[in-house]
Amino acid sequence: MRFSTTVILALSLAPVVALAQVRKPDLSGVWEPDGLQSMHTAASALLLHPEAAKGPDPDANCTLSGVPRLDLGPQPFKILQSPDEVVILYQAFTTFRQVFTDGRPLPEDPQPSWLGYSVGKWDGDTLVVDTVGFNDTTWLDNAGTPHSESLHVTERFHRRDKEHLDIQITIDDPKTFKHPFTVTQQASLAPSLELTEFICLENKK
Amino acid sequence: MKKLPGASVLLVALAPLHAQWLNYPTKGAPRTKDGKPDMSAPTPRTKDGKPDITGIWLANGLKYLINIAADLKPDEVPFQPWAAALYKERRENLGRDDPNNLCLPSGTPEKDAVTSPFKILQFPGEMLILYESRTIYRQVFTDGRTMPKDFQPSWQGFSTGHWDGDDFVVETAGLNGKIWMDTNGHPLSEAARVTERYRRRDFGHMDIQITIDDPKAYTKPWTITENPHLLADTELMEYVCEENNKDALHIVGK
Repeated sequence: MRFSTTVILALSLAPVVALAQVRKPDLSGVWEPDGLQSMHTAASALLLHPEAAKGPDPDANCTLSGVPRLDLGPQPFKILQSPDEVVILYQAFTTFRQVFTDGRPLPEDPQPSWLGYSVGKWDGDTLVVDTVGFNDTTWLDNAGTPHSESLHVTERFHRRDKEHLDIQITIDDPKTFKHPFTVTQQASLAPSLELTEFICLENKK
Repeated sequence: MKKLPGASVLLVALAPLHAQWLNYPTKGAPRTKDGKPDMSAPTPRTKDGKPDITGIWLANGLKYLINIAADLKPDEVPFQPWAAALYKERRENLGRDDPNNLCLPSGTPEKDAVTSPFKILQFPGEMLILYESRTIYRQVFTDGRTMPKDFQPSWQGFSTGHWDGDDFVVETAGLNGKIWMDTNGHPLSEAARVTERYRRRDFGHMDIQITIDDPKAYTKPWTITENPHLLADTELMEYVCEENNKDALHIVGK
């Protein structure tokens, strides 16, 4: 009896699930940021400790840059999409992020890392990516905007039309900023472009 | 007894999640009665009937990372004279100049033997390999494209893939000539073409047959086979060599 109920439930849900999967926007492609975006204007007035000294740029050590710094340009990135995960390949540092869309929760006590731990869910036509578990070494942008290990980044990827991608980026870090703030990065489809290998150390000056 | 599979699934689903999803259950993995992944279950297949080679894989120990030709007799590696001399020099100076010492990438095909896992994902038009080591990726194009004429030689080269029966065949060119194929220092020139045949023998085991065709460094093509195994119920971690490279200053060799 329980078995047949399950089957009936599964059958009745199946068309909805299939429809939902079919209707998700396809974000895949090579995208080129529309210029180099900075958080400085939005972030500087909100700093709790504006007097804190800015250290050397961590990217100069050829570590993995950070999030959302990698979104902010200028190098292209590529999105690959499957039902269970979205992968973002960055030309910068030839590195990648996995965004799990299989329903798993964010890890509760993540080991601090450069690119954090990301899960995604669809909000209508927008892929909402939540990322936590950062170290406090990375910069949010090229201007050196700092953050703490409490950083929570939300990126809303919305393909406005075939050729344009908006990434609305919200920074929530109560140890660094008075309140959350949002900036938007825009990127354009670059169908004739493919990512090339970028080994930071080979270009280290 | 009939309730057992359902109960196992529930237990797995309720298992506590640790950092990095290190014990996150692999979706669809066949299980033995004790709930462990059944490594000898049949090779899974995709909808088109091809073997599904996706998953997280790890080399079996250090063997091929130290010596890609470990299964061959020393005189079976068909070195060109200069390559033999270079290999001897690298062995004698204890690998002083191995690019890995400086956190430069390990190239194709050394990456297959590195003792950090790699993850294969399949998308329309490409097979993607994510390497935990150095947190870098390699794209293997399956959409019929060929290497661009102006391709900049690189550590990983330009890779295309196609199916030959149950083998996924990856052909790579455009390598930069700086690659050590192992820590012993088998060289690979920029003329090299590397063919990797990925064959998933069963759920838990893969063979990667690697053929080195590099007329500049070797007098004829030669072939070895590596045998990584599947890592189920886990995820890749982040690995940043440059974050903690204390070795470079102390590697003096001989």
